[in-house]
This record gives sequence, structure tokens and C-alpha cells, in this order.
Amino acid sequence: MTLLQTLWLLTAILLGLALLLWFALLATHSMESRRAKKTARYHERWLDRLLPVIDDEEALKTLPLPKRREEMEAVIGLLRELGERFRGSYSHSITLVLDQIGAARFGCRLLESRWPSQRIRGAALLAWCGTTGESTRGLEHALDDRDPRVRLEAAMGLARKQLIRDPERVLRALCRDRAAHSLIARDVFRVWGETETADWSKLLKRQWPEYGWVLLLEAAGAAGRAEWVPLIVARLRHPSRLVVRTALTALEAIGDPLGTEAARKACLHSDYAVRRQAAKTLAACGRLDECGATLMELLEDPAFEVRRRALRSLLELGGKNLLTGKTPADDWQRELFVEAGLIAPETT
Amino acid sequence: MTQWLHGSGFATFLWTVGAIILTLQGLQNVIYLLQLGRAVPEFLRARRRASRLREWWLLSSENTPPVTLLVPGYNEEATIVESVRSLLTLQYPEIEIVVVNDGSKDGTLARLIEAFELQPVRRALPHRVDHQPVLGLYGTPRLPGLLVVDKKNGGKADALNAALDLAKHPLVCAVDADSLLDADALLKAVRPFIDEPESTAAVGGTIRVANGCVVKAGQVLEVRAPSGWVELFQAVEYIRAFLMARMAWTRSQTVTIISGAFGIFHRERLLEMGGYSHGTVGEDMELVVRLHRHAHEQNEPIQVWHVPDPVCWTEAPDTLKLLARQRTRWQRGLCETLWRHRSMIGSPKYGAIGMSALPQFLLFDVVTPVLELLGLLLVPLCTFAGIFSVEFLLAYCLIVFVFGICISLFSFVLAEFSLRRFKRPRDLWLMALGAIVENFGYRQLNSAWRVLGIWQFLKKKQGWGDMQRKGFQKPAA
Repeated sequence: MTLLQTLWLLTAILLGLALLLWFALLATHSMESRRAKKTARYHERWLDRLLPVIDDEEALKTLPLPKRREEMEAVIGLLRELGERFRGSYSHSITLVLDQIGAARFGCRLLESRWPSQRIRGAALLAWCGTTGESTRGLEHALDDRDPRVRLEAAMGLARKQLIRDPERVLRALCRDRAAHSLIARDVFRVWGETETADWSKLLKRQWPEYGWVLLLEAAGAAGRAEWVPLIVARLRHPSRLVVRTALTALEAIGDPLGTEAARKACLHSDYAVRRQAAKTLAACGRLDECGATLMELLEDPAFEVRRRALRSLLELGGKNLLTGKTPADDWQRELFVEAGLIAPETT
Repeated sequence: MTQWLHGSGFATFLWTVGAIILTLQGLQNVIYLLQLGRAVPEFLRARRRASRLREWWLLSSENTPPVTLLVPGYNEEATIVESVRSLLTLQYPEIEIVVVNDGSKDGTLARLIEAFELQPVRRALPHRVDHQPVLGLYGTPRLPGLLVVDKKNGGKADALNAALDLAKHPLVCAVDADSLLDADALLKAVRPFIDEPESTAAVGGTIRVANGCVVKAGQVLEVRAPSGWVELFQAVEYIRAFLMARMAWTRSQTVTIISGAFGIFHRERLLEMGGYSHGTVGEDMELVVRLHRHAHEQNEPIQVWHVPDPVCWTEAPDTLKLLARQRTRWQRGLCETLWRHRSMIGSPKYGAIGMSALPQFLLFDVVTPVLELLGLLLVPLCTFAGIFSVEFLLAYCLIVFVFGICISLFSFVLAEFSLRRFKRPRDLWLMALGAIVENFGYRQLNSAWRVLGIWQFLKKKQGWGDMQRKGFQKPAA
């Protein structure tokens, strides 16, 4: 076959494929329009049923079960819209409706889909449903999913429902891959830390990978238990700057004076973000007589943001007297003093 | 004459040039096809990221990173107040808006002061990046997140640097004052920073053509295909060349362009690198290339993403004259960036950026347009003169036109499958028509403008040129 013949063949195949895809798009578009009309009809029908129930005018049991998958999808979509429109006012009623129409079972079925996007939706739906054995089991089962986003969604659902019974399992599920890097993972542990009443400090005594520590320290900060400060302070020696920063944030959240000395030492850390957080932590934990000098030193830090934070911490601790009348050492200090109203802008 | 043509080495020379042109065009098309294949999984990944729950989470979580919007403005008295009002309605938990009046000669500053009842405020200006002197800072207790900076004129990069210097939040988002942002633009674009907060350095949002769309109160309510040919071709091009290529680059982590109209960056990284670069009209591409360069030299791996959701809508030029001005400027910017960072091209030290992304730009965006124009003149002329065979001409037409049509159609269909933006079948047909017709004239014109841009770069032409806009509020087609 000559080069030209090969080219003809190749372009014919490509052109055929492009046309095929084009007609597939048209078909999909038309199907979607039909589906949208059908969904609108379901919405219309179900809105009349749902509003009296959500408003407590009619009994929950009067609601029928959606017969088809598309009907279930439409009702769930409608409930989501109502939830957004009412801005959470009827969230409890909506949860009851979800349980009544069998949304939890539907969510569990979505979790068995081979498509990750469907499984994510399944986990999100279970998190939205009421706390039943079915939804809890589904979410716990999703913690073993192969897709990190499904695990993340399930962990978030469990945390919001205050159903994290085995934090170690959740931690390991998130640390298995990059799911633990997500800020959502940090939120999971923050929410859990805020609500968990049992003593879980034994977890702070074990060895964890870098992101395992980040999540636990986030939870420890949210828990706000002063007796755990020594366990958190120990993490300030960790080689990861992220762990050190999170430990300082936890100390700031707890605000116990025991954290002052460690935060003072962290002001000498090589990473500017750690030093900035240390200055912030000092404002929450320390007293002016303990950390005034350290903060004054930070006013000459090579990083502008550290200086700005140190000045703010000094002012928060009532150290304005230390600064009044002080001649700015350089342009950055002058700029910060003007910003804080310590010197008049005319003198700049 | 014909005998001379055939007898001398001239015919061999023409054959060699013809073969090079054909090979390069073929290679370019193969790479475009491969890029399409690579873009598909990236679309799927972006769809998984984009659940409604996530948007709700972003709005309610304490961990959502605050963002400072950097809004440079020059002589925008007619639109600046509406633009800022529109930015103030963005859905995001914590935003700061730094508007820079870059030495406007009109009443831009006065309009802002009057509309928002601004007063002089005090804010530290550390001068960590180069910019022209700031003449005044204005704010209002009513809108604590709004800061207006009045400074001497220094150009877009200079204005962005001033805003960057004053920004307080960890993420900064550079936006064009004359573009429209979707209300949830930040929520959509910030997602990679949520998933990989430590390694994500920048995220670009997809820019789409607003011409023809139904626009009300600064929001695109319905996406429609433009009615004019020039705008229609651009609408197709924004999908084919910009969206698809950038999704493929995201897959291979070689995104080197984030549009100046909408891009989110890690503020500290920008400050470390000295902010935006002066003296180039392609400051957006230059910044991202420098970001990669800096990361490789510091041995600190970074990720640069492109999100497919159309978050920013721009008014495309509706005349060939304006379009030519825009495209030659873009080409100059590209050439300036490649020249500045020429040591990266082909260097394994810079990974895929040095070995793949930048050489591709050089080959397909600088060399190929020249050869393409040459080919358009040479191949038919030589065929009719009997130097090339008709088969050669046919092969050329197949590669240039039929492959081009296929790629344009593939791109549009894939983008529409993933994003589902057009509601009316009429718009689908119009876009498909645009995808076919753009290959006969528009793409060749584009190559000509590119060549002109290269010429202007070689002549060291500076400046942006005027960009007259008609505004978004005109009745939809």
C-alpha cells in the first residue's frame, strides 16, 4: 500500500469516527432533552407530594416509593434543590423524606457501581440520609473503596454524622494514598476532633506517616484538650514542616500556656510559614512578659509576613507600649508601624 | 523554464522543503490526536472532582483557602464599577479584591471612589516585587474585602505586581476587569488546591467566548453559538486549541499557559519568583514557564492544573482587524517567552517542560506556521508547474484539511460530551459547521498572523495596541 493510500484510509477512518461521534452527540443531546422533560414532569408531580410532608401538613407515610431509577434520581435532585432553597431550614424533614423513599438503599446500590463518579454520589447520598444501620454500614464499607475520593466522601459523611467508631480505620483508609493530602481529609478529622468525647490520646503516642500526623494534630487542636499539649509539643521536632505547622496550629487552638515555650523555640525554624504560625500561636498561648522579646525579634525576620504576624501578636498581647516611640529599623517595619497606626503616615 | 526547474537542484530543494512541510504537518496532527486521547481521562477526573457536595463543603468549611482577586484596570471608567460589583457577588467564603488603577487617564479611580464611597486607608506595602510607585490606597469599612490601589502607569504586569504585593490571602487569582466570571468560578477552580494543597502551584480556568450567549446582570445565563463567522471560528478554536490542549497538558503535568483572564496562584511562590515579569506582552505564559523553571531549579515538584469548567467568559474580537491585532500580540508573547527561557528548551533538567512542552511550542507554534504558509503557496504552484505530483498535493490536502476537520470535530464533540453546555440543537449544528469551515481560510489566516507576530518579535515591537470592546449587554443573537 502506498503512502497516499494509507493516508486516504487513515483520513477515511478518522472522518468516519468523527461523524459517528457527532451523531452520537446529537443522539445524546436529544435523549438528554427528553430526560430533562421527564425529570421536570417528575419534579412537578413530586413537588405537590413533598411540600406538605416537609411542612408537616401530611404524614411521611403518605409518600410512595419511587418506582424507577430515573424517578428516584429526580426526587433526590428535587430534594437537593429544596434543601438549597430553604438554606437548611427543613434539613431534618428532608432527611426523613430521604429515609422514607429508600434513598439509603439506592445510595448503597450506587456504591456498587463500577464508575467512581457514581460511587462518590452514593457515598454523598448516604451521608445525607438519616442515621440508619444501612447508611452507616454503606459508608463504613465505602472506606475500603479503591478510589480515594469515595473514601474521602465516606469519611466526611461518617464524621458529620458523628459515626466514626474506629478512627484508626478512617486514618488508615485516608493515608493509603493521596486522599490524606486533601483539605477535606483535614476537615474530617477536625469535625471528628470537635465532637469525639472519648479519650483517643493513645493515637498520638504511636508512629504515623507525615499526613497521618497532620490529620491527628488537626483533630487534637479541635478537641482542645490541654492535657494533650505535651503529646502535641513532641511533634514540633518532626522533620516535616507541615507537621510542625499543624502542631503549632493545634497548640494555638488549645491556647494552653504549656505550649508557649515550644512555640517560642519554633520561632527559630528555618521555614517562614512555621515561624509565622509560631508567632500566631504565641498570641494564643503566651503572655507578653514571656514572649514579648521573641516577638520583638521576629519584627526583624527576613520574611515580611512573619513580621506582620509578630506585630499583630504583640498588639493582641497588649504590647503596644513596647512599640510606641520605637524608631522603625527599616522600610518594612515602617510600613507595618504605619499600617498598625503606631506612627503617622506623614513620617514615611 | 520547466526544463530548468527539473534539471537543476532547485527541484530537489523544493521536494525536500515539501517533504519537511508535509512531515511536520502530519506530526502536528498526530500530536493533536494524541492530545485528544490524553484529554479524555482528565475530563473524567475533573467531573469526579466536581460534585455538588464539594461545592457545599467549600462554602462551609473552615479549611477552604481564602483568595485575593488581583484586578488590574486601565482606562475602564465605563465598566469598572459593574465589574467590581460582579466580583463582589462571587460565591466564596473569604475573598479580598484588590483593584489597581494603573495610571488611567480617564475617571476610573473617581468612579470607584464615588460608587463604593471609598476613603484613604493605611496598608503596609513591602515592595517585595517590582512595580511603579503607589499614589494612594482606598477602602471602605462597608466592604472590608475591597482595596483600590492608585498607582503610576506601568502596564498590566506592573499593576498585577502591585496587587500581589498588597494581597493578604495565600491564594491569588488574576482576573481581567473586562471578562465575566461565573458566580461559582472560584469554587470550581480552587478544587486542585483542596486536593493537593502542598504541591499545587497554579490553576487555570477555561476561558470561553461569550459572544452570542445570553448575558444578564454580569452572568452567562445560556450558552449559545455566536452568529458571526469570526466569533464562531474563535468559539470553536477556544475549545479545540485551548481547552483540549490544556487538558492534555494537565494529564502530563506540562501546563505552561494560564490565561491572564483567570488564573489562581500560590501567592508566596509568585513572590519568591519576583512576581510578574515586565517587558513582555505574554506575561501570563512567561509566569507559568518561570514557575516551572523555579520549581525544577529548587528541586521542588509542583503541579499546575487546568480545570475544564468554563469559569470565565470573554468578549472575542468581532472583526478581522481586531483579531489580527490580538493574535499577533499573543504570538509575540509566545516568542518572547520562548526566547527568555531558551535554555530550558530541550534540557532534560526541566523534565517534560524542557523536553516536550517547550519544544512543541517552538516546532508547532513558531516553525510550523511559517512552513504552513510556505506550503500553501508552494505545493499547489509546484504541482501545477509539474514539480510535485498530484498525489503529493492530495496528500497535503488530506493532512491539512481533512485531518484538521476531524480534529476540530473530535474536540468539539468531546468537550460537549463532558461539559454539556449547549442547550439548543441549532447551536450544536452551528458549532459543527464552524469546526468544518474554520479549516478553509481561518486557520490559514491564523498562521499568517502568527508569522506576522514572529516578524514583530524580531523587529522588537512593544505594546498591546487598542482592544475595543462592545460590552456584554448587547441583545443576544
